Amino acid sequence: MVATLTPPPVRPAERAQLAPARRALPVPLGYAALSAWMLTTVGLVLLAFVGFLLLGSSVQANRAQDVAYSKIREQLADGIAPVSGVVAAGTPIGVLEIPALDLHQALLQGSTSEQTVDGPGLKSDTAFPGATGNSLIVGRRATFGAPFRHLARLKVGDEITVVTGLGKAVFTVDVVRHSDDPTSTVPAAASRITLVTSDPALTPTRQIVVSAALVGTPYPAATTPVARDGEAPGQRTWDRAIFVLLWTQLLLVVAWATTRLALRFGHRAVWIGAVPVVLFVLWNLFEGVAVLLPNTL
Amino acid sequence: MTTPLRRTSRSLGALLGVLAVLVLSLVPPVAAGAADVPGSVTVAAPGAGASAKVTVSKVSNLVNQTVAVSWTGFQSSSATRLSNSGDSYDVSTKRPVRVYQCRGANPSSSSDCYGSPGFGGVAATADHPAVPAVPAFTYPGQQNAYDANPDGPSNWQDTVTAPDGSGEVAIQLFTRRESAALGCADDTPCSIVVVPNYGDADGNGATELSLDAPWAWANRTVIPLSFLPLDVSCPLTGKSVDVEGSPVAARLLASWRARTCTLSSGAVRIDYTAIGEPQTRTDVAGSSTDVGLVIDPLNAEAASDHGVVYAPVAASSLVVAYQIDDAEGRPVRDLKLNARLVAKLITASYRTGGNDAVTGNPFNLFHDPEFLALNPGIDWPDGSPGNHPLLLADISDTTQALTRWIEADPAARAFINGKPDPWGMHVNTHYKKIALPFDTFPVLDQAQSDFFQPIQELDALARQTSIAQFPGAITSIENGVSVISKPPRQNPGSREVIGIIDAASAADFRLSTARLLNAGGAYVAPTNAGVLAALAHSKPNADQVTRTVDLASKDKAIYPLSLLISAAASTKATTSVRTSVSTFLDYAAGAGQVPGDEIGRLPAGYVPLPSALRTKIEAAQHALKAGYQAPAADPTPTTTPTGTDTPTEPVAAPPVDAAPPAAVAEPGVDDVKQLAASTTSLPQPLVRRLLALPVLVGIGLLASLAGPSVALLRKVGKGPAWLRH
Repeated sequence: MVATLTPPPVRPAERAQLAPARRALPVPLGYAALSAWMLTTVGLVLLAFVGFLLLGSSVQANRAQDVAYSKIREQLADGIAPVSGVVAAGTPIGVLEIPALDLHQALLQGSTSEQTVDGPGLKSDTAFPGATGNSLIVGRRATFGAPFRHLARLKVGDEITVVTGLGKAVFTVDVVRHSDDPTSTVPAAASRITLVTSDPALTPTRQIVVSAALVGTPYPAATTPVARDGEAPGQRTWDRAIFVLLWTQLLLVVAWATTRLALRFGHRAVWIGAVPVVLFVLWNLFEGVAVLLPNTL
Repeated sequence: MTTPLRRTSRSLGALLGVLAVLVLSLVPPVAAGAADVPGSVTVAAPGAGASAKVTVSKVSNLVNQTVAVSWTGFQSSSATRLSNSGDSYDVSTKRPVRVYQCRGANPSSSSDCYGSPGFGGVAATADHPAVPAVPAFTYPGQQNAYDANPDGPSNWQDTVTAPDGSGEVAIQLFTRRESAALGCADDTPCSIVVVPNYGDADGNGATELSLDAPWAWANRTVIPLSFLPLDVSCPLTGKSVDVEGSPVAARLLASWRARTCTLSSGAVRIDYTAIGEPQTRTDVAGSSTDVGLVIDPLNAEAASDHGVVYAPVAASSLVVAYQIDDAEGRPVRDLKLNARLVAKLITASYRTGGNDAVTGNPFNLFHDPEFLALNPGIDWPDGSPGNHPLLLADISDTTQALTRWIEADPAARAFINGKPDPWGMHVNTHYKKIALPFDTFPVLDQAQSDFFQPIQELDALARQTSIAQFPGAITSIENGVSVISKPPRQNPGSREVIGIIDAASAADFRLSTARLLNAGGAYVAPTNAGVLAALAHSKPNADQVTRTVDLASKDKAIYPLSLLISAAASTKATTSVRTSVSTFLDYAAGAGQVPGDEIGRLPAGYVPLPSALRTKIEAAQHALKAGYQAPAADPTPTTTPTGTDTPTEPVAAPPVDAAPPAAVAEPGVDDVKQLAASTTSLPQPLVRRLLALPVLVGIGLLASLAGPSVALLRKVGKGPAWLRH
């Protein structure tokens, strides 16, 4: 006689006994367990945020730079790069190159934190780089790619090149200082570019200011638009406050839904599906909170 | 029988009579139809008509200004207005008249006249011989024989003669500065030539197309002109003072500087540069100029640091100048504007094309019900969309004064903040709620940026208003390539330019000025009375010398855009500089305040200072003589400058906010031109360290360590009871 290989069927009574074990009602947690969970979660989220700021944001910024650079390259080649009038904030207007720092960044219009997350930004009410007047460029020192992280290494005599729709402008650095140094005189120049970022990098109390004078004749100045709120270096805007609020709400909803589903259907399956969703929501939330921080961070 | 006495008296009387006749006959005959206005000259114009005469309003002591040319006794034209536009000619109106400015006191052909387009010539026919061609305006260095406008748009004017044989037109005269090709100056004579075109012997070719034909040139009338010296021939030695400052004072200084260096006593050579007021204030604080002419004062801290004293120098005003012809081609002479209408013009709020920001608004000022209610009884022209006002691009105290007036008017302020006017017009949405006052006109509407383009430099702006040329550019496609050209100037009969310029330029170019509404409810023109009333009711600033118009005063005589130009000088300068400045102020207080056309006088557009302000000049001179007096009490220590130091620029630079300029010359740095660094004030002081990140990291680490440790304790069973549960 051949032995049966199939396992004996579980009788319904036994199944009912087995099932409750998996679907056990949650035991009321004691203070210890609850606080342990909460502390751990909160701590991990905060650390994740700091990790996003320092590491993850560069990924985002690199992508934004790639997109901006390819766009401005094409526009410069076609001669249709925007040069005057009202340029929408965030539009790439040129390429900033500092050989001494090995810096090649697409320069954007507008310097609120919304724009500096994508790369160094030109303050809207200052002149176009290469045109008569002073151009103020604000960049980040620690987060979102940190294009200006080594700005303090610049010395008098280093070159800065900016290529815009007006043409190529080469500047020579003649001032490197902190914003609370005693003021000094600078030689007059028809066109000047000033780069600003925070100092020290993560807990800024002042700024590093590097100013360079144009070599050659400047392009004629066009009238410049008025600056928007939040463009001054070191400023923050609350534009993304609603965004952060909404994404926090979404996070709570996702967390609640995940917990309910996990308790009902089993942890592993639900968590496999929930982890990407939670990460996605967290990423957007972190980005929103990061934009609320100062534009030179 | 006649007594000896009677005989003697009779012969004495006869002798006296003969003498009287002789004396009277020697008196030069007064020219027939003598001009009413002093300085104008009338000449006979035999080529134009039997008893024709031409009058020019001013022929001597000329600068770059506009003169009126009028005539009587000419043959009347066949229409009452030329239908030319831009660079196209009217081919149907017969017997038009052209007024040229030509080089030489008696030019031989129209090729000596600026902008002359030339005549193509007529081929020989059976009845007539060939008429040779006449070249266009020729000048040294000409590359292209057809380029008749090497120095910008032409100044010749074409117009018609009315049925009664009279006509008039205004023409802007160029000196060598405006047109090197003409080269008119005190040593190079020039002339005005009035050319009527009555056609050839058969009456053909009598239109605007053939105004350079020989038959028209044969009927010309020439009036020689004499210009004031352009370059001041001052001795190289002697006292000199560096004056820089407000372009509003440019015409004043041009008049004064030609005289002050040739005075027999108190001579000083003035080296003047027209630079915008914000940069002038920086330069005075940085001691890179001896005297700075400003309207708004320096920042108090900088002023006290450098011991700056102020002296009022001239009173002038900002005017809304216009050249508008009504629907029949007659020039409009009176215009009333209130603050809300000016706000509408400077915020590009009139509708042009399919622009979302201005939908629902009137097409332009001439279709605005508010404007029509204010200026009834005139048949306004259709006009161009948006009116394209001519505005100054530079950062200027004059723009600040204009926008202060707009801000002080509740209706205008509400309009800019978004409240529609009673007829439903709203502000251009891009300009809604912009911060007032501002010191430079922002260009915020990209859809209108082609024509809403402020112009750099006040004299270029004034000249463009005088030539009646819109700002901006026209882009057209020719042969598939974009061609950008400036709009053509508008011809008399169809002009519609409005420009906000200074009163002196408006006076020189004979531009009509609008009457503006003041807080008292009256519409006031920028006359001497209006400016003096404004000064009488002005509020002194902290320095007690510079003044701003009190826009809340209900006095009905105030002209709200009056300006007081003050000289700012540092008492920390060297003794020789202070003496030169004091000599300059001597002239400003005395002979410089006498109005007149001659060099050294106060030109038209400026108002002589009232005596109360002239005493302030003396006070300033005393302070300069005494030198720098350090303030007695030590003021509160200056706060560490927060924010960015961005150096400001000389030419039309948009700076960061003018807060305390903290630059001081480093000792020993003599050859480096000083630029005061100006600091921005950030809304949040950065002195407080941003600790968000370290705090977050700390809490995060703490929490992520505490959590598992609590769980561990619970498992192991150690720790306090309440935690174990």
